[in-house]
This record gives sequence, structure tokens and C-alpha cells, in this order.
Amino acid sequence: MGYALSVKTDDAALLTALREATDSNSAAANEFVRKHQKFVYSTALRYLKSSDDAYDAVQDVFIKALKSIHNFRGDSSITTWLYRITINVCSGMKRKEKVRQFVGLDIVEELEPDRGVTPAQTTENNDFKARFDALLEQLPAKQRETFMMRYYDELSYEEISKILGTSVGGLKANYFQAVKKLAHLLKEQQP
Amino acid sequence: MIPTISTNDLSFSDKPLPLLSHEETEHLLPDYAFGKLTDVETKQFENALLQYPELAHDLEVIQHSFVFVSENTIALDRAQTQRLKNLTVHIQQRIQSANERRTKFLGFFRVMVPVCTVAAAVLVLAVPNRVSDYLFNRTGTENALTIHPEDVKDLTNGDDAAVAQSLKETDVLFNTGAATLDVSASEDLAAEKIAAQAAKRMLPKETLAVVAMNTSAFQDYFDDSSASDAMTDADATAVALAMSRKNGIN
Repeated sequence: MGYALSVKTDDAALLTALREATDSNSAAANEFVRKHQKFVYSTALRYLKSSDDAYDAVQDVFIKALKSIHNFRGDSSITTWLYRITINVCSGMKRKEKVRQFVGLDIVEELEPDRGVTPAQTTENNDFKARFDALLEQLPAKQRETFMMRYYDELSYEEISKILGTSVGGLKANYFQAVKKLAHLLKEQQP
Repeated sequence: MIPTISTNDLSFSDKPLPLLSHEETEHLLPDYAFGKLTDVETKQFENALLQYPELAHDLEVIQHSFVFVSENTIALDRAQTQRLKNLTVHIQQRIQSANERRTKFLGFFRVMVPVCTVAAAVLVLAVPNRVSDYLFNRTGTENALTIHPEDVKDLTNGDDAAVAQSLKETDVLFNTGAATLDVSASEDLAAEKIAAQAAKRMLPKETLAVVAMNTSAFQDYFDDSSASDAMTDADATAVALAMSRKNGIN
């Protein structure tokens, strides 16, 4: 999950390659998608609560982004830009009632069976995830969103600040409070 | 993944770092717990933590509680990687199919635009009078010269106040036109014709409708503006007479 921290170093080169590419089916386009797909997917999943809908949304987001890459002025980071597109796409999907379920914070993404992981472990992971999502619901919205972006998406405070419109200092305080509260809730749940 | 720390095992660099405040230490705590700090920040944090034992306790709880969260996150990450492995292929397929649809759409217009242009040109060349009448007379200004029978019918059959007012105003305008005609007209038939045509151009549609109603013989002239150009001298005189009669000039 360390992709977000490495993006910034070669963003400019990738943007140049994308703008110079005459075909959207270019190596640069594929690299662009691979580099940001997890962030876009996890953001869409948080809003849509359905892995299938999130997957559709991710495709829409990248198609829009690749189409309008020439209009990207670089005022914000690519991550911030993609986040805004993702939220717009997801909002559109919700409006059109394409989404079957979006009430609550439960992310219904189930961990698929993985090689090297026993079915029992997969079940245990899914159970834990459901419980953890329920704990996340207990956080105030701002703390929850900050935690998601910082912990799961690994965005910098500056990027989150641009997205949420909160000061970096405020975000750090939110993150600390969110982590502390979750830790205590987790501790209470332990046998 | 998560670094562990013992307060008895803190190392310090030779160069003293500025001591962090309680708030600053709090802000760094989660990133320290999840191994996201730089070396310098780590040293600063560890240095400051000695001053704040309550934060050291929070750190211990967080590190212990998040062990399973971290493992679960790795599993989730693996699942997402699996889910997204064909994403680029699907995106390229959708872009390609969208391009194909656009190509078909543009292809359709590439054929239809020339066909429609040729058809329009043929229409203009084949029936120039009809087209020019339609374009320049029928859809002209409010004071259109062409009067159609249905316009007259609509005007005279109406019984609401707006129509009555329009007719009243029409009469005034008609009288004005007739007076002009009276001044302009002379014994000369050519001058009468010019005056009649001038009156026709000057008077609004409603006035002409009244004229057309009262003098059905001239209906054709008002139905087809091009006919007014070919107005005979006798008809022009009759129009002038009709207007003069209406105005009591006779």
C-alpha cells in the first residue's frame, strides 16, 4: 500500500508522457491506471459500499481522467484531482440509483480466498473487517474520513487538506483522535 | 510492519533536536505507530515521548490493538489487487468501443451532410419562387405583405377584446393609409398604382386583411406578394377606390 508516497516523484514525467501520447491505449495510460487504481477503488468502495459498483466507478473515473488529462493544469496533485472525479462519478451513480446499497458505512467487500491463506483465516479476516467497519461508524465523520485517507489510502496531510478543506493541524489532531479511539474500542472488544 | 518501542531503548543523535510540544508529539504518534515517520521525525518523537508518559501509554495501546488491523489491511490490499488485475484491459475495451461508436456516428454524418446539402440545392434550383417566397415573405416581419385567407378568417371570427382592439386600430391605420393614398393619387393611373403599392407596404397585415375582406376581387394580390408587383393598372385603381370609399373620400 505504499504507492501513494511514491507517486509524486514521477507524476510530472507520467503526465508529460500521457499528454504526448496520441492513443489512449498507450503504455503511459496503463501505467497511470495501475499507479492510482487502488486509491480510486478504495475511495469508490467507501462511497458505494459495493465492490461491483466500485469497479464500474473506477472504470468511469479513469476514462474521464484520461479524456481530460490535457485539461489538468497541475494546480492540485493528481491524487486530489482523481479524488474529485471519483466523488463526482460516485455521486452520479448514487443519483441514478444504480447503487443497490449505500446506507451506513459497511463495506461489503469480502476478501477473496487467497493462496497461502486457509479458508478459516479468510473467514476470520472477513469477520474482523466487519467488526472494524462497525467501529469506524462510531467515529465522527471527519475523523473517519481522515483515518481512511491517511491509514488506507496513505495520502499526505497536504493532500487530505486540499480534499477535505481542513487545516493540516486539524487533520493531524483528527487522525490522532481517530486512531486513539479505535485502539481503545478494539481493546474493549478483545477477550 | 509496526515498529515496537521500549522507552528504555531510545537512542539519541549527537545533534540535539528541538523538543516537541505535547500537541506536536500527539500529531506524530499515529504515523510513528504505523512506521510512517522519517528518521529525523522518529528521533524527535522518541525524544519527546520521554516527556509525556501518557502518550507512551497511548502508543502502547495503539500498537497492540492495530496488529490485527494491519494484518487485515494487508489481506484487503491483496484482495483489491486481485480484483483490479484486469482493470486496464476493461478500461481500454470501453475506450475502444466508445471510439468505434463515435466513428460510426461521424461516418453517418459524413454521408448525410453532403446528401442533405445536395437535396437542398436541388430544391432551391427546382422551385426558386416557392422557396424564396417561403423564406423571405411568409416568415418575414410582422407587417408581412402576404395575406392568407386563414389570417383574415381568424381575424374576423375572433370575438375577444384583443381582436376587437386590433380591428379598431386597424381602422385608424387604414384611414391613415387612405389619406396618404388620397394625397399621392392623381388622375394618373401609374401614380395610383404606385400609391396603392405604397399603401400596401405601409399598412400592417391587419389592415390589409380588412381590405382583402371588403374587396374580395383583390384577394389574390394579398395572397401572393409577388402578384402585387404585377398589379394591373385597373386593379390598382380599384384598390385606391376601395380605400378612398372606406375613408369617405369618394
